Amino acid sequence: MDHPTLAFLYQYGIGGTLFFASLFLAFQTGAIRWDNLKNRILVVSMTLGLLLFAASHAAWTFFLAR
Amino acid sequence: MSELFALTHSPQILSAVGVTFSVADWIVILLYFTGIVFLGIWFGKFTHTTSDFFFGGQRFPWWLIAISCIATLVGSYSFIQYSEVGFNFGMASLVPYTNEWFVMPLFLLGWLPIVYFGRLQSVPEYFEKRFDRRTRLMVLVMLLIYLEGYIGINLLTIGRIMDGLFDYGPLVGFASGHGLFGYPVVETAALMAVLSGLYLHSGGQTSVLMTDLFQGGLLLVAGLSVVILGIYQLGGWTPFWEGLPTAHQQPFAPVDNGGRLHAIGLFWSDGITGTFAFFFINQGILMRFLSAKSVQDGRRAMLLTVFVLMPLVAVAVGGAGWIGRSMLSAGIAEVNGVAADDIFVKVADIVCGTAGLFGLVVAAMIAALMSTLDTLITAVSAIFVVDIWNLFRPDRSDAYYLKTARFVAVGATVLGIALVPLFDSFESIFRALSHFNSLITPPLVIVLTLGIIWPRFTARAAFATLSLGFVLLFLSLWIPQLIQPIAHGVPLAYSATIVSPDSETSDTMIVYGHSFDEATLAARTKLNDEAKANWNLDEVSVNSHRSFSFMRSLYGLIVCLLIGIGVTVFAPGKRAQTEGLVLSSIADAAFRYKGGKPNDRAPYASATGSFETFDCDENRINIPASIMSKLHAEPGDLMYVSDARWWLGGFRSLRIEAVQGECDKIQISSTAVGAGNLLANRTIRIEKIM
Repeated sequence: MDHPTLAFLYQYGIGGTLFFASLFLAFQTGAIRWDNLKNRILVVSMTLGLLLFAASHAAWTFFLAR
Repeated sequence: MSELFALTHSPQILSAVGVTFSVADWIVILLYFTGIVFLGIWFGKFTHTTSDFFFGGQRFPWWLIAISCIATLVGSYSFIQYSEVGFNFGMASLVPYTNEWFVMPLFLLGWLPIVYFGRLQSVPEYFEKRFDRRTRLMVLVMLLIYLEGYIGINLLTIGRIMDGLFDYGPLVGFASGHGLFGYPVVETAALMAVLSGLYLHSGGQTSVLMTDLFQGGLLLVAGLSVVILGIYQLGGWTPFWEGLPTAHQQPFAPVDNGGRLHAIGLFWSDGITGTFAFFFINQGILMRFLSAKSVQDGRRAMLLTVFVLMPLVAVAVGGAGWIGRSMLSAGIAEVNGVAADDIFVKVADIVCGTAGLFGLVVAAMIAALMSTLDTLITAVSAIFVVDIWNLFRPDRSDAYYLKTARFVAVGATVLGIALVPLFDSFESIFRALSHFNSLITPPLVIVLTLGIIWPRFTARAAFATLSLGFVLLFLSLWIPQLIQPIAHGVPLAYSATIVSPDSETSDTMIVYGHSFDEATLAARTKLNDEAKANWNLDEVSVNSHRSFSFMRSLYGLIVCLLIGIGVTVFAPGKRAQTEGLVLSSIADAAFRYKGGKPNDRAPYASATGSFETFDCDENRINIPASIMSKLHAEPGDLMYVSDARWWLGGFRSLRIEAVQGECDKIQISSTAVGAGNLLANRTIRIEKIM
C-alpha cells in the first residue's frame, strides 16, 4: 500500500514523538524551566516551528498536489 | 541533510555538458576569488590565540553563525546531486533540508549548553569526560578518518566539476584536458585547496566565519536565481507546476518505492541519523556554535537555520532539477538526453542569458566547496591539537598551540590533496569511505544520546555500543538479511547478469525483489522494457552492498540502542562521570561556567553609549550604575560589549566581567579595547550574557 499521506504521517508521527519526548525530558530533568523567559520563548518557537512545517506539509500533501 | 547523496563519484560535468564561458563570466569568477582570499587574509590579522583560531574568540552573533552553517552545509556537490534528486523525484528533494525539527530539542536544550558551559573544545573530549579515554580514542580515530576522507572527497568532486573550466593546458602548450603535469583533476583540486588554505592558515575560524557570510549569501542568491529565471522562462508558475509529473509534485518520496529513494529510509537515514551527525558529531559545526557569543545566540542561530535558511537552500540546490523536468515536459530540446547529474549545469546554462550570470553560478559552486573545505580543515586542526597534541605536549603556551594548529591546517590540506588521486583511481576506496561513514554514525548517535539523557549509561556500555555496533553494522554490508526484519517492506537489491544473444557482451542490472523469484521476474520485465528481450538472463544474486542502503541507519540505531541499554543494565561496570555532562546537570554547568549564579533577569535588555579608555594590563570594564540598573546587571555578570554597528557581525566585540564604576561614563581598559578590536570614538552596545 502506498499513499502520499503515509509518508507525512510516518515522518511527523514518529518525528513528533521524538520531539515532544525530548522536550518532556528536558523539563523533567530541570535542563529548562518554564518560569525562565528565555527558555519559554525557545520552547514556544521550536514547537510553533514544528507545527508550522507540519501544517505546511499537510496542506501540500492533502490539497495542492491533488 | 547529510552526505546521503553527496558521496558519489562525479563525472566531469562542465566539459560533459559542453558549456562555454564569456569574458564577463571569467571576470565574475576572478572577482570572487580575489575578494574571498583578500577578505579571509584581512580578517586573519586579528587572530592571536587558539580561541580565536578555533572559535573566533566566541564573539559572534546568531545570524552570522546561521549563515555560516548554511555555507558549510552546502558542499561542492550539493547543487549537482540535489538537482539530480529533484529531476528524478521532484519536490522530495526538499525533504533532506526540511526534516531537522525532530532532533532540535535535544541539540538546543541538551548538547549545545553541555559543550558550551563545559568549555569543551572537541567532540572526542566529551567522550573522555563523560566516559573514558579509550572511548575518546575510538571516536577520535573514527572522526579523523571521516573528516580527512571528506576533505579528499570534496576536493575530488570540485576537481572533476571544474576540470573542464580550468582547461589551462592549451595556454602553456599542452593538449586540452592535459593540465600542467598530466593530472588535471588533481591540479584543479590542489588549486582550490591552496586558495582556501591561503586565508585559513592565518585566520582560522574568524576568517572562515567572515568569508562564509559572503559565500553563503552567494550560493543562495545564485541557486535561487537559477530557479526563478527557470520558472520565468517556462512562462510562469502554472506552466512550471503543470509540467511536473503528479508524483513529482508531492512533498515526500513514496513510502513504497522499490529499493529507490523512499520516505521511510529518508526519514531515518537523513532526518534522524544524518541531522544528528551534522549538528552533534560534526566537529566543524560544533566549532561554529562555540563561536557564538552565548548559548542563547547559538540557539537563535539554529532556529534561523532550520526555520528560514534551510528551506531556502533546499530550493536553491534542488530547484534546477524541477526546472529541468518541467522543461523536458515542455519539449525544450536542450534538456533532451541530458543525464540527471548534469541537469543543474545544463539548466543554469540555459537560463543564465545575461553576461556574467553563469560565472556567478560557477562562483557559487566554488563557494560551496571552499566554505565546506575550510570548516573541515579547521575541524581536523582542532581535533589534532586538542585531542592528540595536548596529550603529548601538555602545558605549553597558547602561542605554541596556535602555531601547531596552523601547521596542522596546512598538513590536513596537503593530505586531502594527496587523497584525491587515490579516490580518483580506485572507486572501491571511495565507496568504502561512504560505507564507513554510514557505519560509524548510528553508534555515535546512540552513545551521544544515551550519554546526554541517561546518567546511568556507563563507560563500558558506551565502548561496547561503539565497537559492537560498528561490527554488526559492518556485517550487514555482507549479510543484508540482518536488516530485513525492520526494513518496512523494502525489497532486497539483486544483481542480474545479462548476456547478449551472440554471447559476446555481458552487462549487469540492479533489480529489486522480496525473493529470488520476484527479482528474476523483475529482471525479465526490465529486459523487455529496455528492448533487450532477446538477451539471456545469466545469473541473479543478492547485491549485499546495494541492499537496504536507506534502512541501514534504522538497523544501526536499533542494535546500538539494545547494546547500550543491555550492557548498562546487566553489566554496567564503573559509574561514569555525569557532572555538567548530562541533561539533569546543565544548571550546575551554567553555574560553574559563570563562577556564580547565572543572572537571567531582563534577558533582552541592552544599552548603548560612548566609552573612554584607561591604562590597565587586564581586561576590565567599569559600567556606570545607571546602565547596570537598566540591564538588571550585578558586578561579576558576564557582559558582551560590541561596536554598536550590528552589521560588523561582532567582529569588534568582547565578552567581559562587569564591574560597577564610580563615574557616569563607561570605562574600558586599553587591553580590553585591543582584545575586542574596539575603536575609540565609536558608540558601543552592552548586553548581559548571564
